[in-house]
Amino acid sequence: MSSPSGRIIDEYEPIIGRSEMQEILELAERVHGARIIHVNSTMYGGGVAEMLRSLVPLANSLGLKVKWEVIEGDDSFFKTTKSIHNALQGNMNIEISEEMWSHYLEVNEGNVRKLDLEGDVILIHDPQPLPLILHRRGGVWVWRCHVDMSSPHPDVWARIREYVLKYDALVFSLERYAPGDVLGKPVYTRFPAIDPLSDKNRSLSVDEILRVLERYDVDPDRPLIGQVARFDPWKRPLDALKAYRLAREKIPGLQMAMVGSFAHDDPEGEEWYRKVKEEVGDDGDIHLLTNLKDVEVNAVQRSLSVALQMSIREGFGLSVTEALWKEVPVIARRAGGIPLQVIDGFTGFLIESPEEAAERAVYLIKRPWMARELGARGHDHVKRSFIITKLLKDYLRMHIDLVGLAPEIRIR
Amino acid sequence: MRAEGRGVCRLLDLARAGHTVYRSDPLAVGISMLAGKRGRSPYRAAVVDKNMRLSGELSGRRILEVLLGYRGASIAKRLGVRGLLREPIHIFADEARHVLHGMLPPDAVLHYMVENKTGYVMIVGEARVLKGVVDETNVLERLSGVRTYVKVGDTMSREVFTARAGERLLDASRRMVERRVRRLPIVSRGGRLRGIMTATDILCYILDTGKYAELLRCDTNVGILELMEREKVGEAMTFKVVTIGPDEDLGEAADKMLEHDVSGLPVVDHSGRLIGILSRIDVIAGLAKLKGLHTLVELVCGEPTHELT
Repeated sequence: MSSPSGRIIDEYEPIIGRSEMQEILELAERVHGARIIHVNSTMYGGGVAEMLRSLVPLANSLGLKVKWEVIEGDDSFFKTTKSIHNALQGNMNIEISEEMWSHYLEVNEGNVRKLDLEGDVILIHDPQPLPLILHRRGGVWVWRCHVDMSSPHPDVWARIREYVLKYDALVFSLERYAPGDVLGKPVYTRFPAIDPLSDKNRSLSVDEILRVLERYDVDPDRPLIGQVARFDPWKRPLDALKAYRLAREKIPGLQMAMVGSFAHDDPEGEEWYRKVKEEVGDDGDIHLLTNLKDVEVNAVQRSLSVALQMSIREGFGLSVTEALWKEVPVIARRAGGIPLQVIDGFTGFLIESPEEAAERAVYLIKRPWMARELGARGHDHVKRSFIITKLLKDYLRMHIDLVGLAPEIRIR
Repeated sequence: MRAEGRGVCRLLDLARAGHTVYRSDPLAVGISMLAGKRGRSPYRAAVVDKNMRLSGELSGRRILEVLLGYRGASIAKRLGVRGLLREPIHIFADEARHVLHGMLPPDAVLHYMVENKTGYVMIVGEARVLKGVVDETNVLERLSGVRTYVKVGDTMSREVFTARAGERLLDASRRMVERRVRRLPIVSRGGRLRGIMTATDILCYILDTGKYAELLRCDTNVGILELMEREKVGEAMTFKVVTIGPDEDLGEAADKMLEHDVSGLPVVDHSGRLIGILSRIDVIAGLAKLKGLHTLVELVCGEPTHELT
């Protein structure tokens, strides 16, 4: 439902308050009419696509001219880009052949003709469309890297760095992700964020939640824990299963939801899904749920007693943000931005191993009053720092830095 | 040794008022706040509206980035530096990154600071009204007089970005911004420590003795860059520098930082050669890592019940 003014931002006022909204309007005025183009590699699946789905219409309703372009590629292109992603994230066993590098460049070159790249600011997300910079015709080019690059594969980084150096500015999710050998250009830190009004996060009626649980054979009368993550080795889905099985020894009847999606830019997903399925076997209390609609993921998350995030690497950890928003305490490893969200003992627990995760899960399931307390604090914490309007403000300030006008000039 | 006179604390006992600037104030006001008094200016200020609602934060590094043209370049290009300095602070501020609610207990804030290695947390109430800040100094003050039995060398940062006294101020300032550090030890060719230069030192230097006026006369940031190009590091740096040795106790380092009101200590060996740097958050995070977070929490937030060994 849109507001009487037609501005999407008005719908956020009950959450962020009038003065925050006023600030956003003031900032947007400075870049009114600026042409911003976001480019990534998938419309669905993963945090980047989700953020853009909210951010683009929101910014457009404030008077910016924002477009979202998606590059196309074949399986071998996405296999290469997933390898690059893994190497940048710290996998030292990756080898990328010259043939793969050539194909990576060719696919990007082929996309140039199909994409509208005529803008004031061109924001390229992640490594997949990175080489588009070789075909720049104008505008300020920004690389928005969502990957944890604190210890990248040196050879792969050396190749990627050639393109990164051609950009005008860089954006990372955390300050420590910024490489030390990219100097001479503005570097911004921007925390990712969730949209509290999207289908993934909006409040749901009890009936809506129950319908989804029934659809997937989840028993609403027994406790449920779960992990929401792509099927990917970095997310450690098998550790999540191990933690669940250990916890079930203490809580008979405990159920587990493993929720994941297959993004078309993620060729590893199918392989890891098969591994997880094999591990689950015929255990009827483990619900392996794939490619759910956003509203269904929302319903499952809201019915969790405890959320697990066993990942050893996260760009930021938006699944954790989503769970906390829904007042579900989170038990997670210290990956990416998770320690910013999970304050140990106050909005959840930071753990090292599946054994510790199981112990904490049992502790919280047996003490619903404590889980409720932690969940409430988690929601409050997310509301303060990780809501899409914060990210919007951050982007507006960056656009002002790069192409903004002073108001008196705009009026002239 | 056991510290005395420390009672169980609440979060607001640990917090202090913190420095604030109004979001609608011109950027020049922010610069004056962060560089008004050499050696006594804060590194960060909370940006608030007239109802004290938190809008963002402004740091010395951010101001330096603006003056060096890394930020706000499009506005400086059109309005010149004079115009830039009249623009409202909130345009140049960053979203406050570390904001916690005043109802949380102090140990939650300590957990958060240590896990995220951040030395500055803003504490807010309802509707993001700023209640205060907890920074490293507040924590170090609670550690005053404690012997930790942790050596400085075990927790200092060994990667140190440095400058030379004869180097151009512009180059050293750019290094500070690009390496995302707030201080550069000044060393000789042989690696011996000669002094230190902080972001605040640079800002104070620019503001000192008529140079600010020169800056205001400039029409573009090229003017500032030219000014900084002419000057040498030796003119902005602090020669009298407080140092610490690698074998000294972290508690001793904390006391030195408090006594001399400095945010970090260059670590030197017996011959005066620079071998590392220790910041306030290194002391806090190092203590938590090597003695356990619970020990830090107990020392800072509660009645100490045991001696460290």
